Amino acid sequence: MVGSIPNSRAIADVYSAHPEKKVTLYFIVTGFVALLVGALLGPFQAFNYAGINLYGILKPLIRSYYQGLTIHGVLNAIVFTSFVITGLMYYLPIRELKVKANLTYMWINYGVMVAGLLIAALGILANTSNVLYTFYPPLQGHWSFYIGAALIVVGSIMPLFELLRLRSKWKREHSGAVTPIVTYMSLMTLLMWTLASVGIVTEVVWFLIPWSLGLREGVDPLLSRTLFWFTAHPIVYYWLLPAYISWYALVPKQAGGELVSDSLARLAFVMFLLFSTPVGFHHQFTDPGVPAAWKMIHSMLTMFVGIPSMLTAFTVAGSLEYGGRLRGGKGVLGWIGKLPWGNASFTAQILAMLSFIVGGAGGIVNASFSLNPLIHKTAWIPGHFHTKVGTATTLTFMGMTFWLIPHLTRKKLYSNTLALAASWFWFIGMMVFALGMHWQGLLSVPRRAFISGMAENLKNLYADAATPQFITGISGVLLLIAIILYWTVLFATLLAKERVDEGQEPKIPFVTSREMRSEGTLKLLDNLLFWFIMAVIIVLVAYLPSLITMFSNQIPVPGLKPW
Amino acid sequence: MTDRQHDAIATWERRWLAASGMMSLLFIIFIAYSLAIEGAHIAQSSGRTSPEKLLQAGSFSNPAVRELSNGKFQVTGVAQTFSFSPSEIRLPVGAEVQFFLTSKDILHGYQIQHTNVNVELMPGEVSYLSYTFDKAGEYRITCNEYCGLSHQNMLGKIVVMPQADYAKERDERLAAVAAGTVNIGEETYKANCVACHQENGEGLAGAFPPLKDHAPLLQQSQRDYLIHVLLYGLQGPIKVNGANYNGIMPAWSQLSDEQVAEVLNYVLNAWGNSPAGEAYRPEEVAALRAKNLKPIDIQNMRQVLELE
Repeated sequence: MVGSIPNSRAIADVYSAHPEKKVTLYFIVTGFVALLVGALLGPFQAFNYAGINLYGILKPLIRSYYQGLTIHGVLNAIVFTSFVITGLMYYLPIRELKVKANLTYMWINYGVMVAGLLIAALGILANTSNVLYTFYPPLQGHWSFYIGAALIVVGSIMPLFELLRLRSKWKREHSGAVTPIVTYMSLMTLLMWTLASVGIVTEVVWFLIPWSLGLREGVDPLLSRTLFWFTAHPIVYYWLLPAYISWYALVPKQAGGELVSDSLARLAFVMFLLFSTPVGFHHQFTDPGVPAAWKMIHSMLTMFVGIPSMLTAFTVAGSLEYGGRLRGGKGVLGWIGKLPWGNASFTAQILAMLSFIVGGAGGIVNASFSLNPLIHKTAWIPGHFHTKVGTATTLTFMGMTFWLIPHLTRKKLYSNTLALAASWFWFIGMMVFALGMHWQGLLSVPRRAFISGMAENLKNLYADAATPQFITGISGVLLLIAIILYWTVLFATLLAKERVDEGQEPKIPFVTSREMRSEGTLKLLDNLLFWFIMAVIIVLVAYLPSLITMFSNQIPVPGLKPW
Repeated sequence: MTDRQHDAIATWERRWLAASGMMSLLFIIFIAYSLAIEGAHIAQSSGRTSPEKLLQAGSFSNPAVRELSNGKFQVTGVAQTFSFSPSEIRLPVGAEVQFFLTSKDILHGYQIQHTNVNVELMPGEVSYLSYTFDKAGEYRITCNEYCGLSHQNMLGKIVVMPQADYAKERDERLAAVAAGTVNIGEETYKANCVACHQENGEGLAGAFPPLKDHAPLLQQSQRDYLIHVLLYGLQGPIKVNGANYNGIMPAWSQLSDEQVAEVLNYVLNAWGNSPAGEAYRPEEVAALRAKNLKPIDIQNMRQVLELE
């Protein structure tokens, strides 16, 4: 995976000081290889939404638009994210705390996730599980799909336990000190995700796996959807919060500044832990079986989860301004020009943040009970989430690899210029894609539809959307260029033979932090158990009544494989 | 960072936090207000029972548009892969329509273009909503929940026309039905079958077999087979003229005996087909209902015909 290496002695040298570097590299690179495959299918979908059907050239490997879409969604949103995030959630805290981690546990974690990926690939590639990454029953995939997905989810939760152990060890050695910021944020992310994953784990393990093995006659579609969205809204915060960690605790350093408010950053993460999960019904506004009052409550809670993102915008922008001014920026906006725009890692992440603002505004529309029906399940939705997970998260992770891969391998970044170009192409491509898709959605073009392969008599059905379709097609070309540029940089860096001397590689750009005493507000914020219990209580209030009703009134429906 | 800088940031931080909170609150007020003044299009549950019971009971056994005595309209709609019944709804301007919708098999969506009507259809669940159509024109209905290989072709249509035109069309149709000049078979085919088998009867490669040049062979092999396919569906790979097809044919038991018979007669005479036997009669269909057959059983039945 690391390419051709002159001799094994050299490898040992690279990782001897920090053996966790190697397993981290495996997590990150596996994630990005999955993303390459998933992303290459992206332009096919963009062209589909321009009315151009290119799926013929993928046969016999990929047999339909919907199989391609399943692969795209699973690899990009589940595999890529889990692998990269798991790697980051281990590596950054371990280095921040300066502790020794349990390497065997980390490798087992990696093994569990790779096994999940390979098993899920069986069903997907065999064309037996074209259920898309939402896999709503009664659509019935092959058992390998569900078991593989479950293993990946289990793997993504595993870092929590190792991190808790490392934190308490650190606390014993630093009595009275507050958890350092990156470790704190990582733990909050993993606590949130562990609580959130209860829904999907119940759905898959209790219902779908036995059902796909023929041990259950049917499953209740409404209950399954509810359990799915219990997890699948907060999963977007699982994708997003690791990017936030970089924005709060790494990017300000890259900008030459500091994190301007440590406690506000912590408060934002506490709010994410509390409010990420009890909001899932806003994905079910159009579901008849969920009472309107509960939909309204979840709509309100979703508005509140916007607040920590607003806090993030303030603190991160403030930190960047501080950096810009230290670099000599003057005036109200003069500091912007002084930021290190020539640094691909920095620029990629700033562009990711801009995309997040666009996505956030659209997200308010999605979460509004009254506006949502206009765009629910239209092309607007993929337009929306490509600005979020597709850019805010993905472009941040790409930006991080520009320092992280050289840091882990001691190999030089292949080309900062190409990396910059990749970042801009990705950003502009995604913005153009978002424009086209949001617009098509407003014209009620459905999402996830093979509209370039309509039946003869329906060919001109979406003629009124010709302009946004053209725009979407352009984005496919831009994004294809971005893909070629980015993976050229990544692979060329990884496969390079030369390594710089120890100590010459880029350092982790942690913001400077002094050790803070655990007292007052900080002590309260640092009480993870307290916040976790609060989060559980809020989730129980928001979900338990509906779940009890649904569990006790199940209507099992048999499965169907209409592909 | 100096203390002065830090204090300045802390002040603005509090203001920003307050402003964010106010903004969220304002959004919530707007949402509540708009739902209170016009929220009738929001889908609600109006019943929940097993899908089979739902489809046998009441108006779902015969999906249709009905004009109620108070001048309102009622649509009882059933979705299944890959069509809506009724697939075309014709209304006068100003019609207030109550929709009762359900799905026969898996999840489907029901979104009406240019409106805020957008609802999930689930097997076993009745979705209810109402909407008043104030503007004349054609409104596309899309299934916006992925439902399989021909999902993109799962469409319907609502035609809203001036009151006078509507009255005229309705009277003409009543007269035509009375005179027996309506082609029920063609109507049924266009409403339910074109998404997969296409208007030209040639089907879709790999998924849905052609009916052109093929349906008469089936009739010739075993007369009851075609009726069985319509009533009970067909699942599993089949071969037609050496080519493989592996789409799903759902059961069409919600069609009336007359519609089943007539759509077969239409298919056996369209696109240059010539029937291999007498026309099908509604009584033949009625006699074959109420068997407990699954789509997979019909595939076995087909293999016995030895056409492959």
